[in-house]
Amino acid sequence: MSYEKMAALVTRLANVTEQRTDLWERTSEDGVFQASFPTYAVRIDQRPGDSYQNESDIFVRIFDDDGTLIEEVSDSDLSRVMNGAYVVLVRLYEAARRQAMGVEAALDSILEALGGEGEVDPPGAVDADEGTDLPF
Amino acid sequence: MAEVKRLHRLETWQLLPERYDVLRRSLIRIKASGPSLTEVQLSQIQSAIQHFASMEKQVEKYLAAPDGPKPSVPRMNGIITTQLDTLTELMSALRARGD
Repeated sequence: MSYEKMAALVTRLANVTEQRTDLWERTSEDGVFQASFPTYAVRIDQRPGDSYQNESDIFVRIFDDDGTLIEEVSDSDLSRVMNGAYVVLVRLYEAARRQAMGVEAALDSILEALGGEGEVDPPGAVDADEGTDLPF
Repeated sequence: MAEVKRLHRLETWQLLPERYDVLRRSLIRIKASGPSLTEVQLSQIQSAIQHFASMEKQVEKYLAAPDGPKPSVPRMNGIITTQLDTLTELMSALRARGD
């Protein structure tokens, strides 16, 4: 199996997930998220693997045009050819979950409904008048 | 798809794998017969094909081992409702275009 190509796919998916808001969707299985393309579909999920005891692995599966599973890799498989594979896949899984569940849209909507009430400066923010030695 | 939702509610699991298969094959035919479909439309149909293929597997697994986790009817019907809306919109667009 070409783990290098799968690593490239995961990296590309992570980048595209950041750029798009409609790539991932929910499925009929809890904790499994799906991205569809013209001829294939990709699913990502988290389940007990064999890498570490009591720790879940992230799995990426590819399905062909009639829905048959044709490839599956876990973060422990990808770690053979990819530095930080677990971190990359955990981030991808979390981004896919948030996108599929509509978390960003919900937060935007709630923030808009709340308006500017109770707004606080983010940590490290500096007033326009601060941080300068000018006497005016 | 509405019939499949009804069968889910009635939990007539034995009848469902065949229905998923019929739906999936119909979608594959639509995809194959629509050369002018856009990439987005092809992806939408592929999404539905994948959902039905996975539901079929999920239900077959439950039928083989009924002591295992039971498929969630609200979750499955929620997915089908979304797919039905998307595909209805897609078919309307194709009809309007005269395909």
